Amino acid sequence: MNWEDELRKLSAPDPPGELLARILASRAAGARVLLPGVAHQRFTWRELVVAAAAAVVITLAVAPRRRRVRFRSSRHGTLTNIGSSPRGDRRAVAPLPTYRACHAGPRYGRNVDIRVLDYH
Amino acid sequence: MSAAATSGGSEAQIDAARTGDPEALASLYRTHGAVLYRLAYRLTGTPQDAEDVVHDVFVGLPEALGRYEERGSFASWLKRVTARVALMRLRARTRRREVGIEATLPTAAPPLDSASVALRAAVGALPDPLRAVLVLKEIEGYSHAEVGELLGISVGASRVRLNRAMRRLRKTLEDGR
Repeated sequence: MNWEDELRKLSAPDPPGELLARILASRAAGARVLLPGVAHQRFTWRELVVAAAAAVVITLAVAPRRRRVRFRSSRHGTLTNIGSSPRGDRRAVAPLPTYRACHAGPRYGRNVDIRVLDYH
Repeated sequence: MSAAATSGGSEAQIDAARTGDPEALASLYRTHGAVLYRLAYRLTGTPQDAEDVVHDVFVGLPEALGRYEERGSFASWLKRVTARVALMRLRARTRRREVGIEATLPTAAPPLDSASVALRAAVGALPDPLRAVLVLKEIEGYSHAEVGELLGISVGASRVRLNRAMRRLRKTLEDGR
């Protein structure tokens, strides 16, 4: 028999006779010990792999659709994604008026009478 | 018959122990105490620590049984709880660094031949992390996955530690010849 076999049969002593009495005395005296939890394995490896694969498939199915929506919006200029809040809501803003619309519109010409400005 | 009933703890015994019944607790101790003490002794390396570990396990058992799900073997659940308590004690001891090398060598073991004495001393002289893996894997028969779970290390780390422990043991035994 080699030492590896002997290792597996290495003996250990028996517990001392008074240990049970000590345990019961401690319990009777109100001593309590919080033992570490040993959970039974809830999921097998196969279940975990199937769950991970399902998560990947769902992610791949949802992500391209979101990308397409963003691309179409920015191209037409009607729905501009100006960033996401931590909750993920997006806001749509109207495009700002151009310089021409503000300063060269017909309302200025319509309100000013050229003759009033003629001091000579 | 439930799994618990087939593995060293009848349902009635476990239910009674759950309520804190001393007779039921004593009965569970008579069935499992010696095995748990040997496991704790091999992990901690000292009879005093092993005694304290088994004491703590049985004092805390009625409350812990509230969390016990009757799936699988009761005996193996109890062994895993004991191994966890022994490992926690080892870690606390390592932090305190209160135990000298000579104190970790077994003292109360039954009389052995010289080869067994040398082997026992070599196992006792291993650092705690290596000895824990060696005891759990080679003596208690846990898988590397179970050892990893108990010690909070990866399967790879468990393999590496076992390899190191075996190399150290081999060297110690060869040098001693």
